[in-house]
This record gives sequence, C-alpha cells and structure tokens, in this order.
Amino acid sequence: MTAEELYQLFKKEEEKGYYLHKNHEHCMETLESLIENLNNYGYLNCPCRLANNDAEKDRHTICPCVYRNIDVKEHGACFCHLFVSEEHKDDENFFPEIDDRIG
Amino acid sequence: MAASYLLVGIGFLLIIFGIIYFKSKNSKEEPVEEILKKLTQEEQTLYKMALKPENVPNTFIYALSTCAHCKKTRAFLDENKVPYTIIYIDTYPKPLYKILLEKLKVYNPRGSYPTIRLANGHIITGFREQALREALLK
Repeated sequence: MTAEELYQLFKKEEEKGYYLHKNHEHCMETLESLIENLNNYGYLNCPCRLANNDAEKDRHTICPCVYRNIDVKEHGACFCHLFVSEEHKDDENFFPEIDDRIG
Repeated sequence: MAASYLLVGIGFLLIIFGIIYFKSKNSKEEPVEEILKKLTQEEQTLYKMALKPENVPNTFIYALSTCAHCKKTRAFLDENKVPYTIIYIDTYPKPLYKILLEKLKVYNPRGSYPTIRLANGHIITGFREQALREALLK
C-alpha cells in the first residue's frame, strides 16, 4: 500500500465527519509514516505513538485510533492532526495542542 | 519387563528436560551491554545521554522517527537556532527502547512524544510552540 492509496481510503472517512487535514504536506507526511509503520509492524500504528510490535497490544492506537472520535469532537482534530472536524476541514494551519489520552 | 518400562520412562523424562533446558537457554534475552556494542558509536553515545540527560548541556529530546509533532519541534528549534540533542527511541532494539521508555516516563509519565527536557530541567511535552518560545527564546 502507498501513502496515496491510504489517502484515498481515509478520504472515505469524510462520510462519517472525519476529514483529512487540509495541509497536504503534513497529511502526506503522516500517511507516509503510517505506511512505514505498516511495513515495520504489519499494522497502521499511530505514528505519534510508540508501537509494541504487537497488533493486539496496540489495538487502541491503530489508525484511526480509538481516541480519534473524542479528540475530534473536543479539539477539532485527532492527536496526530491527520483527521479534523468539518468545522476545520479548510484550515491549513489548524494544529491545536492536544494531550495524548494514553497514560 | 518393569525395568524396561522404567528405562523408557527415564529416557522420556530426559528428553522432556532437555527440550525445556534448550528452549530456556535460547529464549534468554541478550544482555543490554551486548546489544549496545552492536550499535554505532553515535547511537551508543545518544543512548547514554538519554539515560542521563541532566549531564547534557542543552535541550534533550526523546522522540519517535515517525512523529509529526517531533518533526515540528525540530523545525522550530532549527529555525530559531536553538541547540538540542535528539534521540529516536523507536530506532533502538526493543530491550533498549524499553529502558529508554522507562527513563522518559520519569519525566513524562504519559510517555508521549516529543518529551523535551530543557537544560534547566524543565519538561515540555508535545510540540508547544508558545511554551518553547517562552522557555528558550526569551
């Protein structure tokens, strides 16, 4: 899988109200990191979180992670800023500070 | 007859114990010192610095190579010519990154990235431009 293919796949999340970040450079960099994790671990571990190399242990941080919906709801973006809410879908500079819910 | 059963039994037990012994021997983790020796000099130095960042004269960053927040932190520090040292925990073998993660959690119990230790011991977690600006540029 390539970052572009993943982009197309995640684009479908718009139907659920989760939009890919308007900043294309940031978006593609994050998707490329996800692909790197897919190649290294076999699953799309969140690039902002350390993988355990165990899909079962990391089931909560496989993108889209289980925290995405609540982070988008509360902050307008997920922890990695890959997904944003409809309200911020056209804002290239929307990078709110979000605390990681893990820990 | 009974003796041959006994011999077969003993032989069977010996095989079982042999298998258990070899399995446990092979599953023993390689000592950390041995793993360290296989790394480059730079990686070894960074690893040692990460365990004692209080000895590092400038900002020390615990990061992930894939993390966007870590990249933004680097870009900000580079742009503002702030000297720093950075370690990418995920590039180390698992036994070492487990030790690094334990150390990181002393400063940031959440274990999130980047975890930035300033020279004065102050900790900043995540890419917080304003906090970095106030701590490092004023």
